Amino acid sequence: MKKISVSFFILIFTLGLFIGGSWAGSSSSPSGNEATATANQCPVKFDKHCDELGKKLPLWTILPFVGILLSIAIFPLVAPHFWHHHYPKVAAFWALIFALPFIYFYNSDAIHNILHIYMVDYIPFIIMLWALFTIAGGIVLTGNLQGRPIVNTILLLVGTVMASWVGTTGASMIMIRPVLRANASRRRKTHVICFFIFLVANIGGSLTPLGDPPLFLGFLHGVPFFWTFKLLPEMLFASSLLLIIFFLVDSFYYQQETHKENGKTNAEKSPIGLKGWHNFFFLAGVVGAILLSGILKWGAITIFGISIPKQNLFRDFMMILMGVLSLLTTQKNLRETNEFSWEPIKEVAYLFAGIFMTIIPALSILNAGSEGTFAFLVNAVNEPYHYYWISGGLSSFLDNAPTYLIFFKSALGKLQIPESLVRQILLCGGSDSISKEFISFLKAISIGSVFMGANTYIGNAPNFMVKSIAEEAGVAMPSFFGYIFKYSIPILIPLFIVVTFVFF
Amino acid sequence: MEKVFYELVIEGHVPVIKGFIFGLLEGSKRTGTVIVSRENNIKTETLGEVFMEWTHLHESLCHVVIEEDFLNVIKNGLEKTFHVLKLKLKEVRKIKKASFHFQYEVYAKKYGEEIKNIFKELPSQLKTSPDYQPKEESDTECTDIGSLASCHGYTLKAHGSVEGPIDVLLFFYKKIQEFELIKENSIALHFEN
Repeated sequence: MKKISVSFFILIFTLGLFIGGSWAGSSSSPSGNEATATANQCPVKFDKHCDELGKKLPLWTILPFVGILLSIAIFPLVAPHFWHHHYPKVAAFWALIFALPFIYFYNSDAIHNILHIYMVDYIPFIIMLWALFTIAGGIVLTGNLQGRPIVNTILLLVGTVMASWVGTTGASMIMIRPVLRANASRRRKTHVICFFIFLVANIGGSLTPLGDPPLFLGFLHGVPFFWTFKLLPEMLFASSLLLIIFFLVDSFYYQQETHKENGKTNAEKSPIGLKGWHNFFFLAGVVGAILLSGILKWGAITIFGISIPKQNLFRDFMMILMGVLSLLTTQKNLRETNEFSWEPIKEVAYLFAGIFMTIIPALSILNAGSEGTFAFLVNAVNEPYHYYWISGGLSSFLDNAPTYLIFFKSALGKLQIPESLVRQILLCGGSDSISKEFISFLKAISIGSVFMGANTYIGNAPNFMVKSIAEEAGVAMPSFFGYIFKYSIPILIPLFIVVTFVFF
Repeated sequence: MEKVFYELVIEGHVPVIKGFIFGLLEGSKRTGTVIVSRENNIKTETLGEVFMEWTHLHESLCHVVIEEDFLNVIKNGLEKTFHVLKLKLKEVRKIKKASFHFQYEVYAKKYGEEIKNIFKELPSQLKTSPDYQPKEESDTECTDIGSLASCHGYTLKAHGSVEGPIDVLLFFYKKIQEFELIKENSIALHFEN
């Protein structure tokens, strides 16, 4: 009951926005969705842009943001039980420590910024994650395959492809149990789960805004839905190399296994099947709603002084509807098979409520570009590969979604591009030097944030989920540093260096 | 009565040494325990010895554990065939006992029970160290696996060491090697004097 109430909290809150919107009075603005209104006007005309609030805010205002990210990074490792029971309080502590003085000193400016980030970023972000998670939780891959190298490689490939369409968390949830079942009788299977984290929980999600939370944040800030397909060469390159390495490593361990155990690895085989497949229709509904929100131009309504395009409200409503329909139409036992629970999404909802509050000063300062107190950072990061490594490096240890947003804003601030022009620039495909530079920066940020979320357990939300599920299934997962030293540094870092030379 | 074991350190190529020992025992119709240390994860060379071997500063050393009954046969055999095989017996040490350190961390009751049973059924000649105190915890509020604030509803953790006669210990060592969740260090030999 308690679990269901969490999902309904999100539902009711969003419906409240609809009602609130109509109460606040509809004010259709032709520039409601500024991004789409100016699309297809190439070359793009730039007006110098600078965030006024960002020029005023001192650097120490980002401390609560650093605090909450470090809490997410450190507490699960040093005090997992404390963290599990008290993370909402910790998130609230960091949020309030920023919000109260911010409101006191900046009054209406502060309230406007807070409402803006929650209504434009946080709520759609959580709704999208909730919908994908709910729908994916109703899809069950049944059957028991034998965990041979070729079978494991195919399972990872399927998960990698799926990740861009059901999200990395959803794909991890669908695929992790079939992978564990297939390898149940193998003694050495830790590497299978680590490669699963690389591919299914991270790199696979780089093709669409549905795939990985950073890319959806990009979408919410004007990146067209299909633009992320431009990351296909990088994604294909990295995932192909990883799959080849995986096949070789798994073959090596499998050979040792069969010699040692005299065929004990022959798990009972049963044919593979898909249950709850009707959820793919709801998934298509989510994709359709997101796509439509980028095409439709219905004007905007003002809610608490924040202009929100009507098509975005429609998108969020549709995503909730798809999630609810999935809940109503999927047999309970399918979710039980997936050991579906609201816990992962509840944790993301609480912690990101804190992250989005505390990220406000960092985004404003970065948006101010060389006139803000982050000028040193903005000026130091000049080349695409700088963005790739700095956004990737930070995504490895901090959550990759806020990291993406920070460097997205940093690139805009550096080039003094208003966010309203992002869509137009990306649709024009770089018809001038500033656009070209921004596109190359954005590619680097996207690749860095998504790919390098795999470097540690804390880089991306599904990493820890996969680790925990595998541990409870009897896999000896490496420690936090064990994962970095045995898997990330020898496998991922050389791969990312190669990606740098090939693509940047 | 417990068997007595010796460690022989023989200079020469490992396949030749193995061939020599097993050929000798086969030819003399003897059966018993011969353990090649390297193949059974028994700690042998020091870091210095490994370095010397890498740099070819000396021939490779093969550590073999044998029963007392074979000691004289092998010693004599090595002496008699030295001019042909060039295998040199560098050291003979009587083994007092053997031990290995292990640790485990388990997050499901099913596997926790399995591992607890393994140590409950420890052969009588073996004993665990006093610091082996399995710590079992249940957190009834950690029922679901999360993403950013995950915790386990069940945890069983322990570390310690097992010691006893090398033959029995090696048999137990191989048994727990089948359990991925138990992380075991290599076997250390303890010598008399």
